Amino acid sequence: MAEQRQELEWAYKKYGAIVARRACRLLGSEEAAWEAVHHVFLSLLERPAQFEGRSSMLTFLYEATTHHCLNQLRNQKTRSRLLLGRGSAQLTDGRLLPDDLSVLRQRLAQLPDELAQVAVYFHLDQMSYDEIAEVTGYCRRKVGQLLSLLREHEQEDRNES
Amino acid sequence: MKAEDCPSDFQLDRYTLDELDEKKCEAIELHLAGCEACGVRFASMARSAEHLNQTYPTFSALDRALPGKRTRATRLRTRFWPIAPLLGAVAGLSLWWTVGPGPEVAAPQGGLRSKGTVNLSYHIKRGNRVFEGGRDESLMPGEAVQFGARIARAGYFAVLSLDGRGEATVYYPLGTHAASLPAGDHTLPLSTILDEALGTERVWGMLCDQPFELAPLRDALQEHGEDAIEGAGCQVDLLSFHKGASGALE
Repeated sequence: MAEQRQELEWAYKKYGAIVARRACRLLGSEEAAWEAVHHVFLSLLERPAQFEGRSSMLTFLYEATTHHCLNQLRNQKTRSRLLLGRGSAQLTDGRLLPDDLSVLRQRLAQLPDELAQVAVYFHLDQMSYDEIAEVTGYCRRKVGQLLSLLREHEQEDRNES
Repeated sequence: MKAEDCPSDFQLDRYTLDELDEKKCEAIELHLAGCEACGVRFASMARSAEHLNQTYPTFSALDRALPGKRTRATRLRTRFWPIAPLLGAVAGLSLWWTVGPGPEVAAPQGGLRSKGTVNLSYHIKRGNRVFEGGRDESLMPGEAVQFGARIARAGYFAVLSLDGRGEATVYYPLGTHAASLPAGDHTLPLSTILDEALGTERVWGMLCDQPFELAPLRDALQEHGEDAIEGAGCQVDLLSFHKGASGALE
């Protein structure tokens, strides 16, 4: 147990801020982001097998953070708090304005899981197809299909509004 | 939106973590030098990382700060507990809570031991009742304790413990180093919900002249027992209490 704790502390020291930064942008709340960080790292301690076979810890943590944050955005209890909350001024970097992020969060909460994941990597992390494929484990072709579907969803949203 | 050849955050994270090969690193450095937008983004990521690292520098610190989010796997126990309003409601609860520091603290007996300039005390919250912990007090998992310290001179202070399982913990302060405290009475700001580890728990209050790191001392305490505390060359006070199973006090 002590050894696992040490490994966890090491992983947190190296990757904790990255997880927190992404969670904060996804959820729009630093408090909720720390809860996400806690959840993601604790799951490493409780279920270390989930990391086995992954190419890198960073890839795993990107996916685990995305998964947890999307669940939070969909969760009825936390959604109103997160969607209505203001974005963290300290952690926005100017690429997406707080209002854009707020709209993105609302969309993410309504998208099917696969599309929501791809939307996060494409819009929020601004990853390439190859990078999305690496983090999700999907083949490049599937990433392309999902991005195409995502574009259709977004077009429908624009038409409705 | 970034341009096609701009590195993603994912790439920049890999670059920061030194997980890219030399060629890719050079390409990113070249890009950052020539692309103002990415330079700003990268600087922003670095600032965020610095801010976040300072907020909770260790997972243990984060774990302690999120009451109700912990699981048994973490086996950490500290959380904020607003004892002050409760103290006001309990008349005559404790003299040491309010009296000023004396130049030298008399040594308590039994489960409480003092070595001069530092005196560690604690209060227990059991249900709605708050009372001062005595020597060899019997406590139960789920009850809360909050420590206080009277120190006769300024120094660097910390509270560490060794529980019935032999697991060492830092009760106070949060962070990486001992807290700098002036002389006087101090109600330490964190309380602790006792975990399920049964047996006798020993708690040391340490007052040192020099700053000291907490993690190495905690590790030494876990490995070598109280010799680690005795060997630190600081003023020390020790108290102990016994943690029994639920129902043991009924």
